[in-house]
Amino acid sequence: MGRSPIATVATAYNSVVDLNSASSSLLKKLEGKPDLILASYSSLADVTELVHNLGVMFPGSSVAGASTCRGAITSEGLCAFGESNIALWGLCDDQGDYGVGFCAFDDVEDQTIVANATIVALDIALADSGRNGELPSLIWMHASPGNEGAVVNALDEFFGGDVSVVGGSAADESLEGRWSCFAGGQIGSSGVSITVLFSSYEIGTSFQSGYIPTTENGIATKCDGRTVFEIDGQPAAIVYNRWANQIVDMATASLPVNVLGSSTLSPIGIAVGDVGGIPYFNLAHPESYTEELALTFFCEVSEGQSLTLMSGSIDNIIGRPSRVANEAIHNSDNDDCEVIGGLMVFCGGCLLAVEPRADEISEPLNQSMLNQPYLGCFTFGEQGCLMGGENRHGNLMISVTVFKRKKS
Amino acid sequence: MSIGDSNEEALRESLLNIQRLREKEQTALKQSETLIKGLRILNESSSVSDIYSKILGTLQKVIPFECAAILIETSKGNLSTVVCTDNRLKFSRVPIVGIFQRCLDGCSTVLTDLSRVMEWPVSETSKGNSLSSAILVSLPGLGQQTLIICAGTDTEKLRKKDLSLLTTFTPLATQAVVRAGEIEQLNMLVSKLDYYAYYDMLTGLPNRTLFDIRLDQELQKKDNKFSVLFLDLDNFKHINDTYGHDVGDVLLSEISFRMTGVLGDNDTIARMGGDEFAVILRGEKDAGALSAQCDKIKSRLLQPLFLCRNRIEPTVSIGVAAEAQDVGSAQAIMQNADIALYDAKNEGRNCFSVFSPNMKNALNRVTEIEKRLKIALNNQEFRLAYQPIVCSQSLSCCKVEVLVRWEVDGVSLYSPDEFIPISEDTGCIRELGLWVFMKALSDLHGWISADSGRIVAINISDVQLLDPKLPEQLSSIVAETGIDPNQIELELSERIVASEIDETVSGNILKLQSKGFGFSFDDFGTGQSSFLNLQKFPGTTLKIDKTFIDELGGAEKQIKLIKGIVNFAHSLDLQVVAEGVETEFQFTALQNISCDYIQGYLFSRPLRLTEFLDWCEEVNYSQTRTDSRRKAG
Repeated sequence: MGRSPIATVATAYNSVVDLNSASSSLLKKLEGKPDLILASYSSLADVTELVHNLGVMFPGSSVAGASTCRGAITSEGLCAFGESNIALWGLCDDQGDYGVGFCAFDDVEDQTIVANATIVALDIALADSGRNGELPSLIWMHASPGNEGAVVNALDEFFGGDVSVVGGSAADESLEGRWSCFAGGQIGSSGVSITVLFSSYEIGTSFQSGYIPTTENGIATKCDGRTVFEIDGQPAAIVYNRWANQIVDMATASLPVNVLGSSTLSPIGIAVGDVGGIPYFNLAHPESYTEELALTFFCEVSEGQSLTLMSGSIDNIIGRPSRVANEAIHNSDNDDCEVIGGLMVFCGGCLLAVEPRADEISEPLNQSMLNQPYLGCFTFGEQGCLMGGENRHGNLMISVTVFKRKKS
Repeated sequence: MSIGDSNEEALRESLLNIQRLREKEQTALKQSETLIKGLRILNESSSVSDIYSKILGTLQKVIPFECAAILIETSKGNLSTVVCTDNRLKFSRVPIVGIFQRCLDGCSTVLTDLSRVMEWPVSETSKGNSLSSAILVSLPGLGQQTLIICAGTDTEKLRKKDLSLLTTFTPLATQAVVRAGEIEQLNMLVSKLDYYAYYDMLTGLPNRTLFDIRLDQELQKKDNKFSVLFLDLDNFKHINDTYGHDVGDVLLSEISFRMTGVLGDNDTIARMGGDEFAVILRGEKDAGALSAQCDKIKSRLLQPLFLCRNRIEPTVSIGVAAEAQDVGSAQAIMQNADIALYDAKNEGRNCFSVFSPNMKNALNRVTEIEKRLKIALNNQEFRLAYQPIVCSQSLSCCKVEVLVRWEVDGVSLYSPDEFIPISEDTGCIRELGLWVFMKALSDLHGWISADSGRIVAINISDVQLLDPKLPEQLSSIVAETGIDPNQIELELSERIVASEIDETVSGNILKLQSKGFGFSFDDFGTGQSSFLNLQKFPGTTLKIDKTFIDELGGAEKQIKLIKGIVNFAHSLDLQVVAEGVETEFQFTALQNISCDYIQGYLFSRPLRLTEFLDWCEEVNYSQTRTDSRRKAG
């Protein structure tokens, strides 16, 4: 098999030996020295050791990554779930420039701090790329869950919303807070990792949910951050529970109650735009019903926003990445170009919902990706660019980014 | 979710895509309309600089830039602004590095914050600080590195969509620039062709066409006074033949430069072709002023120049059509100047002649001779005459000079003084000279053989001597007749001996000398006679011209002068022939000063062959009788 500009490798990670082996394998697949390495590892791995050794194994390359729920997925299938594992994605681009930056933040409540940390990470990444002052072709981001909206907003403010921001929040096995993300040699469980891509390859992205709107909808009339107290003036938990066909027996339930698993197929859609009168949605994944009968989410909801009950299915979630990949390829439609690889972000919540059938994801996705290498990570929050051009942080979303180059 | 749900989702997706494409199309349509309008304007441009401005004008309608500019690589590795809407983008010598290099390599870019871009240059105005963003796109395929920059402010930042639009536009703009460049080149070519139609490429002077136009313009002016000079470089053909055309071209350029320098700003000088120039001298000029002007030209040209290590002193003959405004037509003016030029040439070159009506007759005669010369040889219109040269002591005829005559039915058509120079000018002398040589040897074969000491003297023109084939041709004729070359004396004119001898001429003389031919220095005393010339003369005989002998009327001083010449010639081992001896007194005087040979009417005019042979016999008979008487006495 010939060497290619993009390649992936995945392995169980028990020691540096595994990492060395994976790195060597990756370098053998790549057509040159990689300009960018992205890593997706399970939260079971020793991240400090991992990040240190990646720096050693790929000197001169920009390296970034984040922990994934369970394990990553590549064109070769899923990583060994339940074990310490790692998947690497490498890219060579002589004509392009790439840079990474990380900044930790402690006070997750203060959005200004998060925004400032984002700009710090961005500055580091831009300096690393040597393309300060220019508009990147793409920004790839990871962040600890909880503040991704502020990160996306800060990036949008900096670039005027002119560059697609794609990525996924760091994740762990089951919301234990063992997630992490890194860039260069900097790691943190609370922070933001920014990768700027000034790529010579054509890039196409698509960011979609796997859900369709139902007729159930209302207006968020009382909110605070990620908590919605009322919908149409009524307790939000009661309204949602009714829309979702009583997923919780309110008569017997002891509040607060976690609904993360049971709400996966019935998330809330927040209309963020429309195309020719047809609305499109950013998803908000209900996390819990509070004692005040409020509804909490993995993303912020503002008062006045229209909330729509969305509907999904296991089959649809499994097949969705393939359809998003088609859309991403279509978005960068150019007859002179061929797909050379890509990146996929898949909601960790969805993964948990479809986990027994998760190995069904790769086959249709491989076909859509024309059997080119890709890295998919399972995240606790997804960031991407909606079809109207808006960068958004959302839940239960899937994004695919494809890289294409001119046919030789 | 059921299968129905999946279908519903697919349907919804399709609808979204369709709507999105429609919106994109509508936006693209609007932009296309604007661009098409802009392109129509671009295609009306026929100059590259104009089209650059129009490109920016078109872009202004679709891209919300604050200012824009086009930069090209004006010096190696540097870009400079060639057109801009605002001085804030007026840059000079921007190094092609970083973003500029990448952009020229085809990587268009959006600069979101100019203050962060290290390569961003400082504009010629401090107001440049108000610019914060920019888009950069190259215009490839123009042969010269070219960039378009559109810049925006904080309030109106330029976006990716603007870049996308600009990159859509650039191929069309490039085509328009290429087209304008082609038209511009075509126009330049037309201008160049125009230039070549009216100007001489070698000298940059107006050519004959433009001269004629200007001459017509002069004639059409009321109360206008002007004169026309027609100039021809002397011996230019010889310079071209000897040193090559490259040297000839350099000489012509230098001559043009020199002549331009001595003429007034209002005068017109043109190269009419070859080595001919013409001048319109504006203003009224009397004979004195014209003479002064011609002298000025001559003396300026005469200043020596060195070409290929050869010192050349160019001379020119000038024909003047004075008061040209009264002549009537341009053609008549040029004809008059040409006639005057011919007259100047006949006067010996390096001089000028002012046209007078009687010159026309002379020219007509010359033209007639030129025409007839070409057929005269075939028609056997030439014959030879032989003038005896006698020994001053023995009075025996030991030499004869061969002369050529042009006769039809025994009547002389033209004198040698007329047709020989013309045959030299036209080159006919080469053929005629060979005929004379061949015919003379054929005629005199018996006469020479009768006494091996006899000599035949035949004139050789300098035009003949310039022909490298001459030695072979003469040797071949001599070989055929069996005559000893030592019995042939080639008479060279003083013009050849006195001038700087050309390499071909000197080479030919040496070759002929080595084959045994003798040389005589003809007409000594008619021109720039110099004893120095005598010293370098390679021949055996000196012929004192008739003009010297004519003066020999008893004046002691003249006798001493000729004696001095004779003695000097003898000291150089040269024998002396006195030409044009007509009186006993002259003969006795020459005999007394030991002049070796006498030629002239005192003894015989030039004779036809039979007459000459009879004359020789008669002289021999008389001598025999005289000698017998002396012996008897």
